Amino acid sequence: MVPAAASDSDAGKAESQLRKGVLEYCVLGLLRDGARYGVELLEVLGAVSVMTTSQGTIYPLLARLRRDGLVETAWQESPSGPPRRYYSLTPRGEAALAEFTAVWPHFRDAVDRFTGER
Amino acid sequence: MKDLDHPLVAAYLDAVAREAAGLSPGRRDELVADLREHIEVALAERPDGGTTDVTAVLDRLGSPGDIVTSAREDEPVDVPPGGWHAFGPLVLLPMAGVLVMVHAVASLLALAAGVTLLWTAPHWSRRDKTVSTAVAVLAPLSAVVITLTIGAYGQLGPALLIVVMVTTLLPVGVSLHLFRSGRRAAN
Repeated sequence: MVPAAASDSDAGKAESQLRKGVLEYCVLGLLRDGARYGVELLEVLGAVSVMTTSQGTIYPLLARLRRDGLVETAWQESPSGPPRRYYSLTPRGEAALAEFTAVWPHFRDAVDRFTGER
Repeated sequence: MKDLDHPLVAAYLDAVAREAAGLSPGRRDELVADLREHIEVALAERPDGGTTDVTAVLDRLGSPGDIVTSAREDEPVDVPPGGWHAFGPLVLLPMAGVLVMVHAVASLLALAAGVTLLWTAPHWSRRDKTVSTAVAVLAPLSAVVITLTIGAYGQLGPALLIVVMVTTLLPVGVSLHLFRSGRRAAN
């Protein structure tokens, strides 16, 4: 667990750079098993502290995924409160996620190999 | 629905829209709409919906500044700064200051064109635009007023020099500032 107080340090900077690189694939991964609405998506992401600093910063990312055609959205009525906008993967989003999951293990191993203790 | 009328929510969304002035209107409206939707849903899922809940939801969303920074990083400026929008105001605003002593109508035209280009450019913040406009309008205006006042006393020597320097240099300073902040926004 990395304490939030580390955010100004170099370790915090590395964490933030890494997060920027992988966050969109985490979002796509969260949608792999089915559609989720925005608030729900952010709750799940936020439960893993390393993945989000403040929820609002994810919305520009979601907007870009919509624009790039990696996700699509559909409104659904809810028994309580306003209708929810559900995000789901498009075929293009599925392809991007598959490509990332194929690359990631090699990437992770390579980083471990260079930075890990011997 | 009622929750969105809460003054804290309105103030928060206003702050986001203000911070996002540098984004294109489409992106800004999209961001505000997304956040509004989030707040509405998040509040509907909390039992009370009172001020405590509103504060908690807004706290978790984060500061408007952070959100807009992330929007800017994620979506570089739509129209790349270049051509008239990038350089027009930088040239026209100081020109208006210099021309005011020579040709008042030409000065006004340069000022009007410079200010129009400045406000329609996407890559400067509202604050930059406001400050630049104020300086570009007030510097020549105060020069004219000072010249007329001093001119009435018949002493136009060194005083006129200072007046010319003020009218020329202030808007040039604004141009330099705009140039730098425009480049920052583009990166």
